[in-house]
Amino acid sequence: MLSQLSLKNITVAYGDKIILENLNVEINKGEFVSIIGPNGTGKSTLIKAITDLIDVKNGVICIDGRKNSNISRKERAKLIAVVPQEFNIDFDFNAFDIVMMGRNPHQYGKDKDPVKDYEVVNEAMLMTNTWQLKDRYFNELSGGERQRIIIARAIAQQSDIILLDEPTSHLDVHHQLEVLELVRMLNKNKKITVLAVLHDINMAARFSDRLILLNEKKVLADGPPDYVVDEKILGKVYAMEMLVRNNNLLSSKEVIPIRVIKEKKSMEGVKVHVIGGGGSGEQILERLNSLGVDLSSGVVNQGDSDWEICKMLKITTVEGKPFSEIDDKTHKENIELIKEADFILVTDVPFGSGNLKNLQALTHADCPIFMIKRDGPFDYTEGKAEKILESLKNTKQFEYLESYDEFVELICKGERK
Amino acid sequence: MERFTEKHLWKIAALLVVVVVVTATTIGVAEISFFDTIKILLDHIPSFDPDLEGIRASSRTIVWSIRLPRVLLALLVGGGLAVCGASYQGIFKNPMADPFILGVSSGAALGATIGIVFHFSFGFLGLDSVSIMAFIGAIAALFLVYNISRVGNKVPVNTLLLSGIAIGQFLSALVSLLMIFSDQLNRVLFWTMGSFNAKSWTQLLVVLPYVGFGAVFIYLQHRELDIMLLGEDTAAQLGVDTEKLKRHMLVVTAVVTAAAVSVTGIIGFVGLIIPHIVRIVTGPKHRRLIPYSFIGGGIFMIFCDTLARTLASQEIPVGIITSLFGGPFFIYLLKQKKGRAI
Repeated sequence: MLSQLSLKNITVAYGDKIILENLNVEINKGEFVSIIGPNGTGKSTLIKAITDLIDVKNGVICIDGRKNSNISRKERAKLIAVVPQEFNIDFDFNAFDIVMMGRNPHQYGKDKDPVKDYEVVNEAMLMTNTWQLKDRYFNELSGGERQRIIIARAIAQQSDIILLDEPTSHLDVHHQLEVLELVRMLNKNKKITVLAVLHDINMAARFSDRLILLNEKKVLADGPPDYVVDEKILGKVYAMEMLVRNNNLLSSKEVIPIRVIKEKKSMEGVKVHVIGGGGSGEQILERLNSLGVDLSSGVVNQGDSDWEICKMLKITTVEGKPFSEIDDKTHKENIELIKEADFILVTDVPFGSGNLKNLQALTHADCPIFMIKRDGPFDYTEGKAEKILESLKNTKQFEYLESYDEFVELICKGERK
Repeated sequence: MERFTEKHLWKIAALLVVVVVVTATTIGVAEISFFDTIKILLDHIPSFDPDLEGIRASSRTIVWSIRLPRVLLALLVGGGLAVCGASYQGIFKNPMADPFILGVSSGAALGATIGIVFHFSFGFLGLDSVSIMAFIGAIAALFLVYNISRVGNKVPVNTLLLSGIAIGQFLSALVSLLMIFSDQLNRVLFWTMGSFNAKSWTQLLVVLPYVGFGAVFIYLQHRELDIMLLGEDTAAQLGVDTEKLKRHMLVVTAVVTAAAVSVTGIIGFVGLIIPHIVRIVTGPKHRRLIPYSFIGGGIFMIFCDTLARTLASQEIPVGIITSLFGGPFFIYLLKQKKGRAI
């Protein structure tokens, strides 16, 4: 396939500070490619290099097979349109004036054709649903409207390539979607090649054919969203714990950021086993995990919301079958974890025939057991659970707690001892 | 609706210029009636043959050879400075910019001062040595500022503005130094406050091509000047060769300013405030801003010069009048706008 935009061994620097180093990127005709990456990795610099706003120290950029350095500004504006971040202007231009500025490269010398200019601007503004705003001052429009005007300006340039430099960074979710849907529409219907710098990985994955991940001056990954949106790749680059899962509704991968990776985990090596279920453990599991506690949990039924959290956080978990009683095998596994634990926490979960064995398993514990006092009924087993609880109180180091805060406080103290 | 008003605005503006020029020409120490003045003026237009009986020859000389060229020169200089100010404010995207911001006026002042202090006495094209020295000084100052600011083939705007101010201050200091060691202190001082006194057709014809060509050239860039207001990067991405545009604008504006200043001395404020006032009426688009700035600047200058020569028995330098009236008026307009950017 013909590559419409090609960057070969590009090095860009501000003074002595190298921003991009030996970068290679090929964009094919009709592609929708997004550039993602942490702040300061040169994403916007790439846009500047392509539009010749910054000198390229090394390497060659080609647009439609022509060397970028041989292309005049006027010609380049016919080949490439740029949609910048949302911005303000200090002067009272109306929306129509701004879109008409997109015609500038076509208005020199013999090219001048005011009738055609008007038609093109009219079409671009209708396409972006901004024609009704034409007489309004640009500054008085909302952020989303302004960005649509700027996209109309890019359309009016009649270029084959549109570069977008974080076009949605100041917009709310509604307008982010609106802008990106508009760009995708241009990409599909008008066959315009799109190269977008985007902050939002999920938006990028959802709308792009291909993602390019920049990190530390270089391309770290380049490929379809399903390949680039990967916990290992992204987690390292963004220095963050995240969950990547398939969003079946949008049929794309999506990232759920969990937390920034902290260098010191204060409670490392402290083993805590949590007995929960039914969503009773969600908060405390996340909290203990963030403290660096060596967590385990069991038995949790597959599909339970506590189970989902355990999976996301990669907590050692004894899994039971959905909607079934705990079988002997999982029961034994649970007992093993209980024996190893330094602390055991029982959430304010009620007990029924399905999870009664979780309570029974506690009779094997060698460590302190803490239980969060439940407000509602606790025993759905006609006294069996009560009975086990009574024996635990008598034979083990057992204590009721009012809140999870108390538990966190306790294990922190215990750790210090 | 907009087209209707625009058409009429042009007619009104043109008519206003004619009325102001004629009215200013009738005003003066020598009492010549309004109708006599019109008759004298009409006499110089082919196919008009007014009855000049009873009008003294001296009146004809005063109207045609003294007042009219002076009024027209004020129109030209005021208009030229306002157009230069408007274009600078556009390319620098800075509301404080005026034609003198890059040190052109200080260069002219130094040139003129050298001419005055060292009693140069050469002439060229009917111009005296002071005017010629001022012109050379102005162009030299721009050349200096431009080359100091240049990085490779680019001229960053902020560097340009700062070095313009630095060079301006430096050259002004040299002027002051020359002044205090000279017996020509008065002449230098008066020169730096500007005057249309004793200007004739000669000066007018010398300045005309510079201002005429310059104003038309700047007008022809109106589309690119508009786009520059969105910022240099955006302008470049929309196909404007920003460096070339800046270079052309700097040179043309400096030449127009130098030509104006060299015959009249430094007349401040017109180039700064007129574009702002005009922008309130016409909006930011240079297609209208540039011509109306010319008209506005011209009319304002004629008004100020008429006051300068009639207010007191002794002629007041016109630069004093422009600032004296322009300053408060401009502040009034700023307050009217209630903090809105203009």
